[in-house]
Amino acid sequence: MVNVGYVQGVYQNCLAETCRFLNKHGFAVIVSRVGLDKDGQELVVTLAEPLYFKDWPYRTGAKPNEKLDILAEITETISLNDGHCVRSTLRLNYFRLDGEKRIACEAIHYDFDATVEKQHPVCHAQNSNSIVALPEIFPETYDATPLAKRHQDIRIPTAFVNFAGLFAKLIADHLPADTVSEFWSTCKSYIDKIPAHASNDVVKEILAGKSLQSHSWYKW
Amino acid sequence: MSRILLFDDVESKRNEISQELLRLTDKQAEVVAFDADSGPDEGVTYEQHIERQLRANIDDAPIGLIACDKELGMYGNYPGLSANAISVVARTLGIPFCQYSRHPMATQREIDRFNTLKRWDSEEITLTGNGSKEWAGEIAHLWRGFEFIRTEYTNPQIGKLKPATALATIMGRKDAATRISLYGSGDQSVMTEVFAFVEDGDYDTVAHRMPRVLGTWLRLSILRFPGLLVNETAAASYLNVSTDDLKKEKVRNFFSGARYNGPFSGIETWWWRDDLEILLLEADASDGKAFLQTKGVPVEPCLDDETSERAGFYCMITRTPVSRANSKGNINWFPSGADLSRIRNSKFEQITSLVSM
Repeated sequence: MVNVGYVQGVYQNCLAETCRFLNKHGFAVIVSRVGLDKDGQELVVTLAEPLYFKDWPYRTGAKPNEKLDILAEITETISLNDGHCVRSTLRLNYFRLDGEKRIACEAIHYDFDATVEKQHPVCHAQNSNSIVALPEIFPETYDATPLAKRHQDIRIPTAFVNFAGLFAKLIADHLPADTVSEFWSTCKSYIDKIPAHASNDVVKEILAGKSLQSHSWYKW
Repeated sequence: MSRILLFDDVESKRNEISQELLRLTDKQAEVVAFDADSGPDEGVTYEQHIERQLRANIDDAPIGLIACDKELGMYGNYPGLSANAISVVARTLGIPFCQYSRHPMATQREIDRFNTLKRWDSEEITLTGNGSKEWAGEIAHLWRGFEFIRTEYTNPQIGKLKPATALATIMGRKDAATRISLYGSGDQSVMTEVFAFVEDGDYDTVAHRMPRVLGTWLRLSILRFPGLLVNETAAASYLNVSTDDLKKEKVRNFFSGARYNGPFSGIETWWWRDDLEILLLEADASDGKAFLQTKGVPVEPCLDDETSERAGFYCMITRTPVSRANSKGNINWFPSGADLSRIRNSKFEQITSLVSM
C-alpha cells in the first residue's frame, strides 16, 4: 500500500530536483506542477501543463545555433494497492528553431498499459501528427507541415518509457557528457523513486492470453 | 534571548511600539531604541558610524532584529538618514531587518507593489500593517521567527545541511526541500549575501548570517508567492471556497491539518498546499467546496470577480483570486516554485504599459 502523499511527494520532488539541476546548468525547463486525481485505488498523475524544454541543443554536440524546443505531456496511473505504475502515456513534440520560426519536426508518444490491449506491444512508441496543449508561454505560431502526412499507426515496441524514462532519454540525447554524469549523480535518487510497472503482473497478464513472449511482448 | 533594536525618529511612536513589543514578547525581548544623541564625526558616513556603534554593544547582547521606520528625517544629528542606510548596516552585520512606513499609500499602490515584488530577492522585509500596534505585532512575530530559526540552526545536524534542506527542516517539512529550492533558483539567488564568505571558507560567518538569509528568504519569497504554501486568499481560490466562507472558524477547522506552523506563522495564516490537496483526494472530493459539502457545510465557490469564472489562482498585484484564463503566469521573475502566483490580465496590461517587464 502507498498513500497519496507519498506518490505526490515522489513526483513533485523528482520534478523539482531535475528541473532545478537543468535550469542551473543553462538547460531551460519551464516547470509544470504535478496534479493528482484519485479514482478508487488508482491515482492519476498529470502535469498542469506540458514540460517545456526551451532552446535545447538539437543533439549532444550540436552547433550553438542548432536548437530545439521540446514539449512533454505526461499522464501516469499509479495503483495505491502496490505503488506500481499501471498506465503511462508520454507525448513528446519536437520543434526545430529556425530563426524566429518554430517547425514541428517530430511528434511521438510512448504508451504502457498493464492491462494489455490486444494487438498492442506492452510498451511502445507511436508516431503522431498532433501537438500537445501548448504551455501558456509557448509561442502560438509554428509550422506543423512536416507532420501532416505521416503514418500514425505504426507501433514500435520499446522499453518502458515513463516520467523517469523521459529524463533518461532527453538527457542522453541532448546534453553534453559531463553534464549527463553530473545529472545522474545529483538526480538519480529522485528519479529512481518514480513508480515502475510491476513486471511480474505484466507477465501474468501476457500469459493469460495467446501471446508472443519475446522482448517485443504481444498479446492477441 | 536577544534584543530588538528600534530606529524610529518620533519619540511618542517609538515608545508606543516599544511598550507594545515588551507586552507581546512577554518581556522576553529587550527592546532598545537607537541612541541618536551623537552624530558621526566629519568624514565618517552614517553607515560606518552606526555600524561602529552597534558593534561596540553587540557583545553584551545579540541583536535579533532591527525594526526601522523608513523615514528618519526627525533624528536631529542625522539629517537625511533613511532606512536604506540602516539596512546596509544590518546586512553588513548579518542582523535580520524589517522596515515600516507611516505613509501607507507608498506600500498600497499597485505599481509600488509590482516594483517591490519584482526585486523581491534584493529587497527588505516591509511590514504590511498600519500604525504602531499592528507594526509591533508583526515585529514581535518576526523576532520570534528569526529567534526560532537561529536556535534551530545552531543544531549541528541542521547547520551542515544545504540551505533549502535546512529551511525545510526548520519549517517542519524536510520532505519539501527540493520544492523550496525552486524558490531560490534562477537569477534570483537569495544566497548572494553569503557567497563571498563561502568562497573564502569563512564558515563561522556563513553560520552567523544564515539565519538572517533563511528567514528573509522564507518571508519574502516562500510565504509571499503562493505555490508551496498558500495564504488565506490563495487557499480560498485554490480550494474553490469563497474568501468569506474560509474566514469562518467552522470551515477553517476542516483544513486545520494542513496549517503551516513554522516560523512567522503568527503573522497570518498559511496552509501547505500539498496537504490541502491530500485532504481533498483522500475524501474523493474535486475541490474544497465539494469536500465541505460532504461534511454538511455548504459554502459559496471562489470566483474571479471580473469574469465570474472559477478562480483557482492568486493575483500578486491585486491580492485577489483570479482565474487562469484571466491572468498571466510564468512571469520570469516569480520564483519558479510559485505556480499559483499570477498577475491579472487587466493589471498586467496596465502595468506593462507603464514599465517594461
